[in-house]
Amino acid sequence: MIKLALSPLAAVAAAVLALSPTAALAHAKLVASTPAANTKVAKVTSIQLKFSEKLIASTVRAELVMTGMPGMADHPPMKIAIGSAMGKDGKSMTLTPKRALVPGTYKVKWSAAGADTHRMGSEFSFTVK
Amino acid sequence: MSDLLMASIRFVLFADLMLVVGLSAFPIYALRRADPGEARVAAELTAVQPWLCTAGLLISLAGMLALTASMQGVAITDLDTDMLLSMAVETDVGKAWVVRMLALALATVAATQRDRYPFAAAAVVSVAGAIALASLVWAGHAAASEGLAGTGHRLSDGLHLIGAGVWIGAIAAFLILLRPAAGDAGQAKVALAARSLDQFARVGTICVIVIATTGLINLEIIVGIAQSGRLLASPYGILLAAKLALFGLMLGLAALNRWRLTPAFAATASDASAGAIRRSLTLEGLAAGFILALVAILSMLEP
Repeated sequence: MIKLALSPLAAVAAAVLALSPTAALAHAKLVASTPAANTKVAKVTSIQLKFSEKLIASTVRAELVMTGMPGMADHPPMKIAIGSAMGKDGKSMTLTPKRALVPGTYKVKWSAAGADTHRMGSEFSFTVK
Repeated sequence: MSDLLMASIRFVLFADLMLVVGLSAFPIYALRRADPGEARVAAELTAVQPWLCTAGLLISLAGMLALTASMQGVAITDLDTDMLLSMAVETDVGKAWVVRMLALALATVAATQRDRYPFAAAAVVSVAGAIALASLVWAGHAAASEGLAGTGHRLSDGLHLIGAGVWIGAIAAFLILLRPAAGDAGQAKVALAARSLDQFARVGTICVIVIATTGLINLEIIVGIAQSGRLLASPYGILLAAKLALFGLMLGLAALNRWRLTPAFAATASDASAGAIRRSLTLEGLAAGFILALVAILSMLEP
């Protein structure tokens, strides 16, 4: 009886040990973006975000805020209207500003839950020349 | 605050569903179908199941509301039906929740039929309960593993939970059977308890082997056994070490029961020997409770 109960277990054990450790086990993180964080770029028509894990689409929130303008010392944060679309792989997202971005500094904030059910988020800035 | 709430819900749900599985599995392997007296005991052990299953439904619902709120980044009071629907359709944890609710509903109905069909009711409750319990793997680290290894991880984690459930449910069943009772009924129960304790030895051995093997598989997938040495530097590792120590304590108590206390109880059936087993079982149950509390916290920490 013990042997019988354990043979499927042994099969699972063998299969898993042969495959591991390939499993990704971490909260979702931003791994790259275009424009990259803290860079100066000439023209931006869309912003790409790449994540370490699959995100659950309905939990994704993203916003774009203009935080500075050349020649203005104290620019209040101004929200920019954007469209957002998740990539097919579930690990990338494209934000498209409704209008061309004028020169200034911008901040991207995102948050979302990954497959591990944890809600994560971060922010980064870039400058349009 | 939300983390504490989620951990508490997880702890109560683990404990509840393990009792559903383990308490209803007990009559199937430990009691004799043909004996009307034992059929009555089977119905008695199943008597608590409608409550356990209903509690499971309610806690599971509360857990889903809390999880959805935390994943959507809103307060529980700001949830709407679209958010819940998208969880159920879009996420594996939501689909697992739907399966869990259906399984628990079936178990609740089956549990109400215990007086007419004690063993059939116990069988349905234990299988449906095992499905509900195994569906909890989508709420932990196993949910994030991808591909074939992910399937293996979830399978292993599910068996781990079911093995633990059978063990913990047996502790509860023995504590119910060994309640001090007077007269002939007490005598019959003592004889029954002595026999079933003896019979549990084999099932218990299977549980321990399943729990240990699947535990090692999970460790390999989550951290890698080769890297487990540096685990002790993290809160995850320290809690995991505490969990293993408690598991060791449970093994020690189980061995004490099997090789010392049960033979003494079977030989004398004295109140003192029954009391010794009760104390050891209570301690074993407390250790199991602490393990579940640690698990509820562990599944939220990053290894």
